Amino acid sequence: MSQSNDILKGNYKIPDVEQKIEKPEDKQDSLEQEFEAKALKALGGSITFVKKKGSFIWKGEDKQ
Amino acid sequence: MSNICDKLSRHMAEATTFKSLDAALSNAEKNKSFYGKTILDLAEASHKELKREAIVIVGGPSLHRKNPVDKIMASGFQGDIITADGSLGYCLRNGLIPDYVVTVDPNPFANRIVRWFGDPDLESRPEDDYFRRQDLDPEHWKNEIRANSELIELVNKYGCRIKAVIATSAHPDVTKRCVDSGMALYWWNPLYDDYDQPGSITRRVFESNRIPCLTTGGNVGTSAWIIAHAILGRKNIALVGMDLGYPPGTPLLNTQYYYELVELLGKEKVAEAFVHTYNPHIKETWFADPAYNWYREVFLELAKEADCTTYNCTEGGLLFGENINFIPLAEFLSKFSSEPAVKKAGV
Repeated sequence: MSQSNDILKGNYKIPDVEQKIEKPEDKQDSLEQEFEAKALKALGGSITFVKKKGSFIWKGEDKQ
Repeated sequence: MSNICDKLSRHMAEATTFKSLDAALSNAEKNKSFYGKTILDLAEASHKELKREAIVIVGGPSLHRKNPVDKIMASGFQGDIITADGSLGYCLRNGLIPDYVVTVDPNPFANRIVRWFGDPDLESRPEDDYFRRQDLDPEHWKNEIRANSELIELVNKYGCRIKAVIATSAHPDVTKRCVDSGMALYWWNPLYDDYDQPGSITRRVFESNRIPCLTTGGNVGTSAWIIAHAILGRKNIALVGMDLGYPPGTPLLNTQYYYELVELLGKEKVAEAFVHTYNPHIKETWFADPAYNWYREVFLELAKEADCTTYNCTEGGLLFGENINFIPLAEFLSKFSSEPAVKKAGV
């Protein structure tokens, strides 16, 4: 596709057909991903966890 | 480890943020009118005390199986008793009034956390088998309505003697129960992200309420342990009921995330989401779901940096490894209790 784009140099951009057409399997993949994301969200723990090396508490000091 | 459990565990940090962040921030807004003292006020007061020890009580299945409160009370232990919200009822029912109760979970899906304090609105809540299904205290939870009424009464009676170490993320119903029962509230913000990064949520929350922020460990039990050493400055900390796993033979239906795992994997594959681990200290094989597995890994990571000695006196579960002294509760108590008297009996 990119080759034909290079050859056909007009005053409009040729749509990238392969990217634009949604394949049935893509739709299925996206549904599955959406389902997995939703289910995974339900599996999460109680509260966000992040760790900064060296201290458990932050009292609002300036940026390092 | 099972591949599925391993894979899911690796996504738990992200999944937890997706699950809890919006609710946590919304709760922090709703709780604003109750803000006053913070964990820094606790830190200041506690560092003046001579106490060096604390026991953190968490609501795992070993709690009702081993009943540590009897041993604690008989030992005359004079250190701090810090309970996670889920084991407050267990303590009070067994005659132990904790010094502190810790609560953090914003609980976005159902209003469950307030149940740990006795829920005045229980009868109008939607049906929820969460408490019945799990390995909590089978006799007690047989009659949920009666158990709830008893807990309301106990919390109302003894709340004025308990300090609530409450995260701004806690559900407003929990805040209200703590206030109504006479607890003194000490606030903290969970650390949500790197406060040094541009656009940090943690920094934004801090700037709106000026409340100090704390690493959580992902769950209330680990948060309670962090408060014991990082805020109260306790140097020897025992954990009881901190299983982070399920005892051998527990039906999968009775695990915390069973329905969610079935939805994700299907009934036929759900068993693959659990990892079975032999604990050489108790010579038993317990099992964990991805959440407990993640909590365990996080705890072991945090234990490397904690300025305390941690004794896991649960006598069950899966929290063992480097920087954890896995010993019987009696051994901890004989080391750190001064006199054989009953402490804090009053219920």
